[in-house]
Amino acid sequence: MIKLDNVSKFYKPDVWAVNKVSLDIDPGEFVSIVGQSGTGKSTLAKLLFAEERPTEGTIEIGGWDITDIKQHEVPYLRRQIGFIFQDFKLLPKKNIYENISFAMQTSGIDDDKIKKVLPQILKIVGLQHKAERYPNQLSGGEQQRAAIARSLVHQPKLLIADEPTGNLDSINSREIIDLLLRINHLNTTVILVTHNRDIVNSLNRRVVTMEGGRIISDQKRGRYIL
Amino acid sequence: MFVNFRRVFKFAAQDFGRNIWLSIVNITILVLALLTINFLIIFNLLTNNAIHVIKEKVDVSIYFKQNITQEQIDDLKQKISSSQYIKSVDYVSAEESLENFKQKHAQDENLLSAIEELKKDNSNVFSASLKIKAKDISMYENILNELKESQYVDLFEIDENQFQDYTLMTQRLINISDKIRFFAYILSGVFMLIAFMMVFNTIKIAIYTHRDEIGIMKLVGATENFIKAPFILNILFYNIVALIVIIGIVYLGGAFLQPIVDKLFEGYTINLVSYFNSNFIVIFFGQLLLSCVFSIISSLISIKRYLKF
Repeated sequence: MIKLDNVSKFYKPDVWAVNKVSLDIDPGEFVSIVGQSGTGKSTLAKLLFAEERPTEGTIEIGGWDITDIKQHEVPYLRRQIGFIFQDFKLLPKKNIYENISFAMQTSGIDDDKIKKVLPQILKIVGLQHKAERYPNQLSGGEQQRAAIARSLVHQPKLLIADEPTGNLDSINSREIIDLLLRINHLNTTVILVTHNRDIVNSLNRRVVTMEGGRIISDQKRGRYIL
Repeated sequence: MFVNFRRVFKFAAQDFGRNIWLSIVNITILVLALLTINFLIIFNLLTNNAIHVIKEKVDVSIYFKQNITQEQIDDLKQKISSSQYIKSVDYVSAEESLENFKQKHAQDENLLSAIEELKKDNSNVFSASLKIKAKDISMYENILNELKESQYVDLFEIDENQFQDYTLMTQRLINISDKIRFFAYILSGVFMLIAFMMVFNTIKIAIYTHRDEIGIMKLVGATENFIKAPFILNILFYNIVALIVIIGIVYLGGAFLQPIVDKLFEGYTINLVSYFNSNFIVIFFGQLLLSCVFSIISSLISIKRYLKF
Protein backbone atom coordinates (compact mmCIF):
# COMPACT_ATOMS: atom_id res chain seq x y z
CA MET A 1 0.00 0.00 0.00
CA ILE A 2 2.62 2.55 1.11
CA LYS A 3 6.34 2.21 0.53
CA LEU A 4 8.85 4.77 1.73
CA ASP A 5 12.42 4.07 0.74
CA ASN A 6 15.20 6.06 2.42
CA VAL A 7 13.06 9.20 2.48
CA SER A 8 14.57 12.42 3.82
CA LYS A 9 13.27 15.96 4.00
CA PHE A 10 15.69 18.84 4.51
CA TYR A 11 14.69 22.38 5.49
CA LYS A 12 17.09 25.28 5.24
CA PRO A 13 19.32 26.15 6.90
CA ASP A 14 20.21 22.87 8.56
CA VAL A 15 17.18 20.79 9.60
CA TRP A 16 16.62 17.21 8.50
CA ALA A 17 12.94 16.91 9.53
CA VAL A 18 12.80 13.37 8.17
CA ASN A 19 16.04 11.46 7.90
CA LYS A 20 16.44 8.27 5.83
CA VAL A 21 13.07 6.80 6.73
CA SER A 22 12.06 3.48 5.19
CA LEU A 23 8.61 2.14 5.92
CA ASP A 24 6.20 -0.37 4.42
CA ILE A 25 2.50 -0.26 5.30
CA ASP A 26 0.18 -3.00 4.09
CA PRO A 27 -3.44 -2.48 2.95
CA GLY A 28 -5.89 -2.47 5.84
CA GLU A 29 -3.28 -1.75 8.53
CA PHE A 30 -3.86 0.71 11.40
CA VAL A 31 -0.51 2.37 12.09
CA SER A 32 0.19 4.93 14.78
CA ILE A 33 3.18 7.17 14.15
CA VAL A 34 4.24 8.56 17.49
CA GLY A 35 6.92 10.80 18.86
CA GLN A 36 7.40 14.09 20.64
CA SER A 37 6.81 17.44 18.94
CA GLY A 38 9.33 18.24 16.21
CA THR A 39 10.35 14.65 15.52
CA GLY A 40 9.11 14.69 11.91
CA LYS A 41 5.74 12.91 12.27
CA SER A 42 3.70 15.64 10.58
CA THR A 43 6.36 16.17 7.92
CA LEU A 44 6.09 12.46 7.14
CA ALA A 45 2.30 12.84 6.81
CA LYS A 46 2.76 15.90 4.56
CA LEU A 47 5.09 13.88 2.33
CA LEU A 48 2.36 11.26 1.95
CA PHE A 49 -0.23 13.71 0.61
CA ALA A 50 2.29 15.66 -1.43
CA GLU A 51 2.18 18.87 0.54
CA GLU A 52 5.93 18.48 0.71
CA ARG A 53 8.34 16.78 -1.70
CA PRO A 54 11.13 14.56 -0.37
CA THR A 55 14.71 15.80 -0.62
CA GLU A 56 15.89 12.22 -1.01
CA GLY A 57 14.35 8.78 -1.40
CA THR A 58 11.16 7.55 -3.03
CA ILE A 59 7.52 7.37 -1.96
CA GLU A 60 4.99 5.00 -3.46
CA ILE A 61 1.26 4.92 -2.64
CA GLY A 62 -0.86 2.13 -4.11
CA GLY A 63 1.78 1.54 -6.76
CA TRP A 64 1.92 5.25 -7.72
CA ASP A 65 5.37 6.79 -7.35
CA ILE A 66 4.60 10.24 -5.98
CA THR A 67 8.23 11.23 -5.30
CA ASP A 68 8.26 13.80 -8.09
CA ILE A 69 4.52 14.15 -8.54
CA LYS A 70 3.57 17.00 -10.87
CA GLN A 71 1.51 19.97 -9.63
CA HIS A 72 -1.49 19.11 -11.79
CA GLU A 73 -1.50 15.50 -10.55
CA VAL A 74 -1.71 16.42 -6.85
CA PRO A 75 -5.52 16.97 -6.77
CA TYR A 76 -6.03 13.50 -8.21
CA LEU A 77 -3.78 11.95 -5.55
CA ARG A 78 -5.64 13.79 -2.80
CA ARG A 79 -9.00 12.54 -4.02
CA GLN A 80 -7.74 9.03 -3.31
CA ILE A 81 -6.53 9.78 0.22
CA GLY A 82 -8.56 10.94 3.18
CA PHE A 83 -7.07 13.43 5.64
CA ILE A 84 -8.06 14.77 8.99
CA PHE A 85 -6.20 17.36 10.99
CA GLN A 86 -6.01 18.75 14.49
CA ASP A 87 -7.64 22.04 13.37
CA PHE A 88 -10.36 20.23 11.34
CA LYS A 89 -9.79 22.41 8.25
CA LEU A 90 -13.45 22.93 7.45
CA LEU A 91 -14.50 25.79 5.19
CA PRO A 92 -15.93 28.36 7.64
CA LYS A 93 -18.40 29.93 5.20
CA LYS A 94 -19.94 26.63 4.13
CA ASN A 95 -22.26 24.52 6.22
CA ILE A 96 -21.44 20.90 7.01
CA TYR A 97 -23.42 19.55 4.06
CA GLU A 98 -21.65 21.97 1.72
CA ASN A 99 -18.24 21.24 3.24
CA ILE A 100 -18.62 17.56 2.55
CA SER A 101 -20.30 17.93 -0.83
CA PHE A 102 -17.55 20.35 -1.90
CA ALA A 103 -15.03 17.50 -1.71
CA MET A 104 -17.27 15.46 -4.01
CA GLN A 105 -17.94 18.36 -6.36
CA THR A 106 -14.23 18.90 -6.93
CA SER A 107 -14.06 15.57 -8.72
CA GLY A 108 -17.16 16.28 -10.82
CA ILE A 109 -19.53 13.86 -9.05
CA ASP A 110 -23.07 14.70 -10.15
CA ASP A 111 -25.65 16.18 -7.79
CA ASP A 112 -27.90 13.12 -7.76
CA LYS A 113 -25.10 10.92 -6.50
CA ILE A 114 -24.11 13.52 -3.91
CA LYS A 115 -27.71 13.67 -2.65
CA LYS A 116 -27.76 9.90 -2.38
CA VAL A 117 -24.36 9.27 -0.77
CA LEU A 118 -23.96 12.25 1.51
CA PRO A 119 -26.78 11.50 4.00
CA GLN A 120 -25.34 8.00 4.45
CA ILE A 121 -21.91 9.39 5.26
CA LEU A 122 -23.41 11.94 7.64
CA LYS A 123 -25.21 9.07 9.37
CA ILE A 124 -21.96 7.12 9.78
CA VAL A 125 -20.42 10.05 11.68
CA GLY A 126 -23.66 10.88 13.51
CA LEU A 127 -24.17 14.35 12.02
CA GLN A 128 -27.30 13.70 9.98
CA HIS A 129 -29.27 16.25 12.04
CA LYS A 130 -26.60 18.94 11.94
CA ALA A 131 -25.92 19.09 8.22
CA GLU A 132 -27.19 22.67 7.89
CA ARG A 133 -24.98 24.00 10.66
CA TYR A 134 -21.81 25.94 10.07
CA PRO A 135 -18.50 24.78 11.60
CA ASN A 136 -18.57 27.46 14.30
CA GLN A 137 -21.98 26.14 15.43
CA LEU A 138 -20.53 22.70 16.23
CA SER A 139 -18.39 21.36 19.06
CA GLY A 140 -14.78 20.30 18.41
CA GLY A 141 -15.75 16.64 18.33
CA GLU A 142 -18.56 17.31 15.87
CA GLN A 143 -16.28 19.34 13.66
CA GLN A 144 -13.76 16.51 13.63
CA ARG A 145 -16.51 14.04 12.74
CA ALA A 146 -17.54 16.33 9.89
CA ALA A 147 -13.91 16.36 8.72
CA ILE A 148 -13.88 12.55 8.85
CA ALA A 149 -17.12 12.45 6.84
CA ARG A 150 -15.51 14.70 4.26
CA SER A 151 -12.46 12.45 4.10
CA LEU A 152 -14.67 9.44 3.41
CA VAL A 153 -16.59 10.78 0.41
CA HIS A 154 -14.11 9.41 -2.10
CA GLN A 155 -14.07 6.04 -0.31
CA PRO A 156 -10.32 6.28 0.14
CA LYS A 157 -8.09 3.27 0.59
CA LEU A 158 -5.88 5.37 2.85
CA LEU A 159 -6.80 7.76 5.66
CA ILE A 160 -4.16 9.97 7.24
CA ALA A 161 -5.10 11.50 10.59
CA ASP A 162 -2.61 14.13 11.79
CA GLU A 163 -3.16 14.72 15.53
CA PRO A 164 -6.96 14.36 15.12
CA THR A 165 -7.57 14.47 18.88
CA GLY A 166 -5.20 17.35 19.64
CA ASN A 167 -8.03 19.83 20.18
CA LEU A 168 -10.52 17.47 21.78
CA ASP A 169 -11.35 16.35 25.31
CA SER A 170 -10.91 12.70 26.26
CA ILE A 171 -14.53 11.67 25.54
CA ASN A 172 -14.55 13.24 22.08
CA SER A 173 -11.05 11.86 21.46
CA ARG A 174 -12.27 8.37 22.22
CA GLU A 175 -15.24 8.82 19.86
CA ILE A 176 -12.96 9.92 17.04
CA ILE A 177 -10.58 7.01 17.57
CA ASP A 178 -13.52 4.59 17.62
CA LEU A 179 -14.69 6.09 14.36
CA LEU A 180 -11.24 5.61 12.86
CA LEU A 181 -11.25 1.98 14.00
CA ARG A 182 -14.65 1.44 12.35
CA ILE A 183 -13.32 2.93 9.14
CA ASN A 184 -10.28 0.65 9.41
CA HIS A 185 -12.58 -2.34 9.78
CA LEU A 186 -14.01 -1.41 6.36
CA ASN A 187 -10.50 -2.21 5.06
CA THR A 188 -9.24 1.36 4.84
CA THR A 189 -5.59 1.79 5.81
CA VAL A 190 -5.35 4.31 8.65
CA ILE A 191 -2.22 6.23 9.60
CA LEU A 192 -2.65 8.00 12.92
CA VAL A 193 -0.06 10.64 13.74
CA THR A 194 -0.25 11.41 17.45
CA HIS A 195 1.61 11.98 20.66
CA ASN A 196 -1.33 10.89 22.83
CA ARG A 197 0.08 8.07 24.94
CA ASP A 198 -3.27 6.77 26.28
CA ILE A 199 -4.82 6.46 22.85
CA VAL A 200 -1.81 4.64 21.38
CA ASN A 201 -1.61 2.26 24.30
CA SER A 202 -5.34 1.48 24.11
CA LEU A 203 -5.22 0.60 20.42
CA ASN A 204 -2.84 -2.36 20.59
CA ARG A 205 -1.94 -1.89 16.91
CA ARG A 206 1.27 -1.23 15.00
CA VAL A 207 3.28 1.67 16.44
CA VAL A 208 6.09 3.45 14.60
CA THR A 209 8.11 5.68 16.92
CA MET A 210 10.11 8.62 15.56
CA GLU A 211 12.85 10.69 17.13
CA GLY A 212 15.04 13.29 15.45
CA GLY A 213 13.48 12.56 12.06
CA ARG A 214 14.35 8.85 12.21
CA ILE A 215 12.32 5.75 13.02
CA ILE A 216 13.66 4.36 16.27
CA SER A 217 11.07 1.64 16.78
CA ASP A 218 8.47 -0.22 14.71
CA GLN A 219 6.32 -2.68 16.72
CA LYS A 220 3.53 -4.83 15.29
CA ARG A 221 1.42 -4.49 18.44
CA GLY A 222 3.18 -1.73 20.21
CA ARG A 223 2.94 0.81 22.97
CA TYR A 224 4.01 4.39 23.37
CA ILE A 225 7.57 3.91 24.52
CA LEU A 226 8.96 7.44 24.85
CA MET B 1 -18.09 20.59 -17.95
CA PHE B 2 -21.55 22.15 -17.63
CA VAL B 3 -21.90 20.77 -14.08
CA ASN B 4 -18.60 22.37 -13.09
CA PHE B 5 -19.60 25.66 -14.74
CA ARG B 6 -22.87 25.68 -12.80
CA ARG B 7 -21.04 24.89 -9.56
CA VAL B 8 -18.54 27.67 -10.13
CA PHE B 9 -21.47 30.10 -10.51
CA LYS B 10 -23.07 28.73 -7.36
CA PHE B 11 -19.86 29.00 -5.33
CA ALA B 12 -19.28 32.53 -6.59
CA ALA B 13 -22.82 33.57 -5.63
CA GLN B 14 -22.47 31.93 -2.20
CA ASP B 15 -19.14 33.59 -1.60
CA PHE B 16 -20.58 36.97 -2.62
CA GLY B 17 -23.50 36.66 -0.22
CA ARG B 18 -21.68 35.05 2.71
CA ASN B 19 -18.83 37.56 2.56
CA ILE B 20 -21.15 40.47 1.95
CA TRP B 21 -19.01 43.05 3.77
CA LEU B 22 -15.93 42.04 1.86
CA SER B 23 -17.99 42.21 -1.35
CA ILE B 24 -19.23 45.70 -0.44
CA VAL B 25 -15.69 46.88 0.32
CA ASN B 26 -14.44 45.49 -3.00
CA ILE B 27 -17.25 47.13 -4.91
CA THR B 28 -16.72 50.44 -3.08
CA ILE B 29 -13.03 50.47 -3.97
CA LEU B 30 -13.85 49.70 -7.60
CA VAL B 31 -16.45 52.50 -7.58
CA LEU B 32 -13.85 54.91 -6.21
CA ALA B 33 -11.34 53.83 -8.84
CA LEU B 34 -13.89 54.25 -11.63
CA LEU B 35 -15.00 57.57 -10.14
CA THR B 36 -11.42 58.77 -10.48
CA ILE B 37 -11.42 57.78 -14.15
CA ASN B 38 -14.75 59.51 -14.79
CA PHE B 39 -13.60 62.60 -12.92
CA LEU B 40 -10.61 62.69 -15.26
CA ILE B 41 -12.86 62.29 -18.30
CA ILE B 42 -14.97 65.28 -17.17
CA PHE B 43 -11.86 67.26 -16.26
CA ASN B 44 -10.35 66.67 -19.72
CA LEU B 45 -13.66 67.45 -21.38
CA LEU B 46 -13.99 70.79 -19.56
CA THR B 47 -10.33 71.66 -20.10
CA ASN B 48 -10.61 71.01 -23.83
CA ASN B 49 -13.85 72.97 -23.95
CA ALA B 50 -12.24 75.89 -22.13
CA ILE B 51 -9.40 75.95 -24.63
CA HIS B 52 -11.91 75.69 -27.48
CA VAL B 53 -13.98 78.55 -26.06
CA ILE B 54 -10.95 80.82 -25.78
CA LYS B 55 -9.96 80.00 -29.35
CA GLU B 56 -13.51 80.57 -30.56
CA LYS B 57 -13.67 84.00 -28.98
CA VAL B 58 -10.62 85.26 -30.84
CA ASP B 59 -11.26 87.27 -34.01
CA VAL B 60 -9.70 90.22 -35.80
CA SER B 61 -11.26 93.11 -37.66
CA ILE B 62 -10.14 95.01 -40.71
CA TYR B 63 -11.59 98.48 -41.15
CA PHE B 64 -12.61 99.91 -44.50
CA LYS B 65 -11.59 103.32 -45.58
CA GLN B 66 -14.44 105.86 -45.70
CA ASN B 67 -14.98 106.09 -49.46
CA ILE B 68 -15.46 102.37 -50.16
CA THR B 69 -18.60 101.19 -51.97
CA GLN B 70 -20.77 98.30 -50.84
CA GLU B 71 -19.87 96.47 -54.03
CA GLN B 72 -16.19 96.62 -53.19
CA ILE B 73 -16.91 95.43 -49.70
CA ASP B 74 -18.92 92.44 -50.95
CA ASP B 75 -16.23 91.63 -53.45
CA LEU B 76 -13.52 91.70 -50.80
CA LYS B 77 -15.61 89.68 -48.38
CA GLN B 78 -16.14 86.99 -50.97
CA LYS B 79 -12.50 86.99 -51.91
CA ILE B 80 -11.09 86.58 -48.42
CA SER B 81 -13.78 84.09 -47.42
CA SER B 82 -12.21 81.66 -49.86
CA SER B 83 -8.91 81.72 -47.98
CA GLN B 84 -7.81 78.34 -46.64
CA TYR B 85 -7.02 79.94 -43.28
CA ILE B 86 -10.36 81.65 -42.69
CA LYS B 87 -13.34 80.09 -41.01
CA SER B 88 -15.82 82.98 -41.25
CA VAL B 89 -16.05 86.61 -42.31
CA ASP B 90 -18.78 88.86 -40.94
CA TYR B 91 -19.55 92.30 -42.23
CA VAL B 92 -20.14 94.98 -39.60
CA SER B 93 -21.49 98.30 -40.91
CA ALA B 94 -20.36 101.63 -39.47
CA GLU B 95 -23.79 102.06 -37.87
CA GLU B 96 -23.62 98.66 -36.25
CA SER B 97 -20.16 99.44 -34.93
CA LEU B 98 -21.48 102.65 -33.44
CA GLU B 99 -24.42 100.85 -31.83
CA ASN B 100 -22.14 98.15 -30.47
CA PHE B 101 -19.86 100.78 -29.03
CA LYS B 102 -22.79 102.60 -27.41
CA GLN B 103 -24.08 99.43 -25.86
CA LYS B 104 -20.67 98.53 -24.59
CA HIS B 105 -20.18 101.93 -22.98
CA ALA B 106 -23.76 102.59 -21.91
CA GLN B 107 -22.59 103.57 -18.43
CA ASP B 108 -20.03 106.10 -19.60
CA GLU B 109 -22.09 109.26 -20.13
CA ASN B 110 -19.13 111.45 -21.04
CA LEU B 111 -18.10 109.12 -23.80
CA LEU B 112 -21.65 108.83 -25.12
CA SER B 113 -22.18 112.60 -25.15
CA ALA B 114 -18.93 113.00 -27.04
CA ILE B 115 -20.17 110.52 -29.63
CA GLU B 116 -23.47 112.45 -29.86
CA GLU B 117 -21.53 115.66 -30.46
CA LEU B 118 -19.73 114.04 -33.32
CA LYS B 119 -22.99 112.78 -34.78
CA LYS B 120 -24.32 116.36 -34.89
CA ASP B 121 -21.65 117.03 -37.48
CA ASN B 122 -23.13 114.09 -39.35
CA SER B 123 -19.95 112.15 -39.03
CA ASN B 124 -19.42 108.61 -37.72
CA VAL B 125 -16.07 107.97 -36.12
CA PHE B 126 -16.57 104.29 -36.80
CA SER B 127 -16.06 102.75 -40.19
CA ALA B 128 -17.43 99.53 -41.67
CA SER B 129 -15.35 96.48 -40.91
CA LEU B 130 -14.97 92.75 -41.56
CA LYS B 131 -14.74 90.53 -38.53
CA ILE B 132 -12.48 87.61 -39.48
CA LYS B 133 -12.28 84.35 -37.62
CA ALA B 134 -9.46 81.94 -38.44
CA LYS B 135 -9.86 78.18 -38.74
CA ASP B 136 -7.17 77.84 -36.13
CA ILE B 137 -5.75 80.37 -33.77
CA SER B 138 -2.27 79.85 -35.16
CA MET B 139 -3.35 81.04 -38.64
CA TYR B 140 -3.76 84.75 -37.96
CA GLU B 141 -0.24 85.51 -39.10
CA ASN B 142 -0.91 83.80 -42.42
CA ILE B 143 -4.15 85.76 -42.81
CA LEU B 144 -2.30 89.01 -42.15
CA ASN B 145 0.26 88.16 -44.81
CA GLU B 146 -2.44 87.21 -47.30
CA LEU B 147 -4.32 90.46 -46.69
CA LYS B 148 -1.18 92.56 -47.03
CA GLU B 149 -0.31 90.90 -50.30
CA SER B 150 -3.81 91.06 -51.77
CA GLN B 151 -4.84 93.45 -54.56
CA TYR B 152 -7.40 95.06 -52.24
CA VAL B 153 -4.84 96.21 -49.71
CA ASP B 154 -5.69 99.86 -50.42
CA LEU B 155 -9.35 99.40 -49.48
CA PHE B 156 -8.87 98.82 -45.79
CA GLU B 157 -6.70 99.58 -42.86
CA ILE B 158 -5.04 96.89 -40.90
CA ASP B 159 -4.11 97.41 -37.34
CA GLU B 160 -0.95 95.30 -37.51
CA ASN B 161 -0.57 95.57 -33.77
CA GLN B 162 -3.84 93.72 -33.48
CA PHE B 163 -2.47 90.84 -35.53
CA GLN B 164 0.85 90.90 -33.74
CA ASP B 165 -0.95 90.92 -30.41
CA TYR B 166 -2.93 87.93 -31.56
CA THR B 167 0.18 86.17 -32.78
CA LEU B 168 1.70 86.70 -29.36
CA MET B 169 -1.51 85.67 -27.67
CA THR B 170 -1.73 82.65 -29.92
CA GLN B 171 1.71 81.56 -28.86
CA ARG B 172 0.77 82.00 -25.23
CA LEU B 173 -2.53 80.22 -25.62
CA ILE B 174 -0.93 77.28 -27.40
CA ASN B 175 1.68 77.15 -24.64
CA ILE B 176 -0.96 77.31 -21.94
CA SER B 177 -3.18 74.71 -23.60
CA ASP B 178 -0.18 72.41 -24.08
CA LYS B 179 0.71 72.85 -20.42
CA ILE B 180 -2.87 72.22 -19.33
CA ARG B 181 -2.99 69.07 -21.46
CA PHE B 182 0.37 67.92 -20.14
CA PHE B 183 -0.78 68.58 -16.58
CA ALA B 184 -4.05 66.72 -17.29
CA TYR B 185 -2.12 63.73 -18.67
CA ILE B 186 0.21 63.66 -15.65
CA LEU B 187 -2.76 64.03 -13.30
CA SER B 188 -4.62 61.30 -15.19
CA GLY B 189 -1.59 59.03 -15.00
CA VAL B 190 -1.12 59.60 -11.27
CA PHE B 191 -4.81 59.14 -10.50
CA MET B 192 -5.03 56.03 -12.68
CA LEU B 193 -1.97 54.61 -10.93
CA ILE B 194 -3.54 55.32 -7.53
CA ALA B 195 -6.81 53.73 -8.70
CA PHE B 196 -4.98 50.65 -9.99
CA MET B 197 -2.94 50.32 -6.78
CA MET B 198 -6.14 50.60 -4.73
CA VAL B 199 -7.84 47.86 -6.76
CA PHE B 200 -4.74 45.64 -6.75
CA ASN B 201 -4.30 45.88 -2.99
CA THR B 202 -7.99 45.36 -2.26
CA ILE B 203 -8.03 42.19 -4.36
CA LYS B 204 -4.79 41.07 -2.72
CA ILE B 205 -6.34 41.53 0.72
CA ALA B 206 -9.56 39.78 -0.38
CA ILE B 207 -7.58 36.77 -1.60
CA TYR B 208 -5.41 36.86 1.53
CA THR B 209 -8.52 36.58 3.71
CA HIS B 210 -9.43 33.46 1.72
CA ARG B 211 -5.98 31.87 1.97
CA ASP B 212 -7.02 29.23 4.54
CA GLU B 213 -10.05 28.30 2.45
CA ILE B 214 -7.86 27.99 -0.62
CA GLY B 215 -5.55 25.68 1.36
CA ILE B 216 -8.50 23.52 2.42
CA MET B 217 -9.87 23.38 -1.12
CA LYS B 218 -6.47 22.15 -2.29
CA LEU B 219 -6.41 19.51 0.43
CA VAL B 220 -9.74 18.04 -0.58
CA GLY B 221 -8.64 17.65 -4.17
CA ALA B 222 -9.86 20.80 -5.92
CA THR B 223 -7.91 21.64 -9.05
CA GLU B 224 -6.32 25.05 -9.58
CA ASN B 225 -9.03 26.15 -12.01
CA PHE B 226 -11.84 24.92 -9.77
CA ILE B 227 -10.44 27.12 -6.96
CA LYS B 228 -9.70 30.15 -9.15
CA ALA B 229 -12.89 30.27 -11.19
CA PRO B 230 -15.33 31.44 -8.44
CA PHE B 231 -12.89 34.21 -7.44
CA ILE B 232 -12.61 35.41 -11.02
CA LEU B 233 -16.36 35.24 -11.48
CA ASN B 234 -16.93 37.24 -8.30
CA ILE B 235 -14.46 39.86 -9.42
CA LEU B 236 -16.32 40.18 -12.71
CA PHE B 237 -19.52 40.57 -10.76
CA TYR B 238 -17.96 43.25 -8.50
CA ASN B 239 -16.91 45.15 -11.62
CA ILE B 240 -20.38 44.98 -13.16
CA VAL B 241 -22.05 46.19 -9.95
CA ALA B 242 -19.42 48.95 -9.59
CA LEU B 243 -20.06 50.04 -13.18
CA ILE B 244 -23.83 50.24 -12.62
CA VAL B 245 -23.22 52.37 -9.50
CA ILE B 246 -20.77 54.60 -11.36
CA ILE B 247 -23.19 55.13 -14.27
CA GLY B 248 -25.76 56.34 -11.73
CA ILE B 249 -23.22 58.63 -10.05
CA VAL B 250 -21.96 60.05 -13.36
CA TYR B 251 -25.45 60.86 -14.66
CA LEU B 252 -26.62 62.33 -11.35
CA GLY B 253 -23.35 64.24 -11.01
CA GLY B 254 -23.60 65.42 -14.62
CA ALA B 255 -27.11 66.78 -14.06
CA PHE B 256 -25.95 68.44 -10.84
CA LEU B 257 -22.86 70.01 -12.42
CA GLN B 258 -24.63 71.19 -15.60
CA PRO B 259 -25.82 74.60 -14.26
CA ILE B 260 -22.29 75.30 -13.00
CA VAL B 261 -20.80 74.32 -16.37
CA ASP B 262 -23.40 76.45 -18.18
CA LYS B 263 -22.46 79.45 -16.09
CA LEU B 264 -18.75 78.82 -16.60
CA PHE B 265 -18.96 78.54 -20.39
CA GLU B 266 -21.68 81.07 -21.18
CA GLY B 267 -22.75 80.60 -24.78
CA TYR B 268 -20.21 77.84 -25.35
CA THR B 269 -21.48 75.31 -22.86
CA ILE B 270 -21.20 71.58 -23.21
CA ASN B 271 -23.93 69.19 -22.15
CA LEU B 272 -22.33 66.58 -19.89
CA VAL B 273 -25.23 64.13 -19.96
CA SER B 274 -25.41 64.32 -23.77
CA TYR B 275 -21.68 63.79 -23.95
CA PHE B 276 -21.90 60.63 -21.83
CA ASN B 277 -24.96 59.50 -23.80
CA SER B 278 -23.27 59.81 -27.15
CA ASN B 279 -20.06 58.15 -25.91
CA PHE B 280 -21.74 55.64 -23.59
CA ILE B 281 -20.28 52.48 -25.11
CA VAL B 282 -16.74 53.78 -25.45
CA ILE B 283 -16.65 55.34 -21.96
CA PHE B 284 -18.47 52.79 -19.83
CA PHE B 285 -17.75 49.54 -21.66
CA GLY B 286 -14.18 50.72 -22.04
CA GLN B 287 -13.98 51.21 -18.28
CA LEU B 288 -15.61 47.84 -17.65
CA LEU B 289 -13.15 46.12 -19.93
CA LEU B 290 -10.18 47.94 -18.41
CA SER B 291 -11.23 47.30 -14.80
CA CYS B 292 -12.11 43.65 -15.50
CA VAL B 293 -8.81 42.94 -17.22
CA PHE B 294 -6.84 44.71 -14.51
CA SER B 295 -8.68 43.15 -11.58
CA ILE B 296 -8.52 39.66 -13.10
CA ILE B 297 -4.78 40.04 -13.64
CA SER B 298 -4.47 41.32 -10.04
CA SER B 299 -6.40 38.38 -8.67
CA LEU B 300 -4.44 35.85 -10.71
CA ILE B 301 -1.19 37.34 -9.43
CA SER B 302 -2.50 37.44 -5.83
CA ILE B 303 -3.94 33.93 -5.81
CA LYS B 304 -0.92 32.30 -7.45
CA ARG B 305 1.15 32.07 -4.27
CA TYR B 306 -1.64 30.26 -2.42
CA LEU B 307 -2.24 27.77 -5.21
CA LYS B 308 1.14 26.04 -5.13
CA PHE B 309 0.56 22.39 -4.45
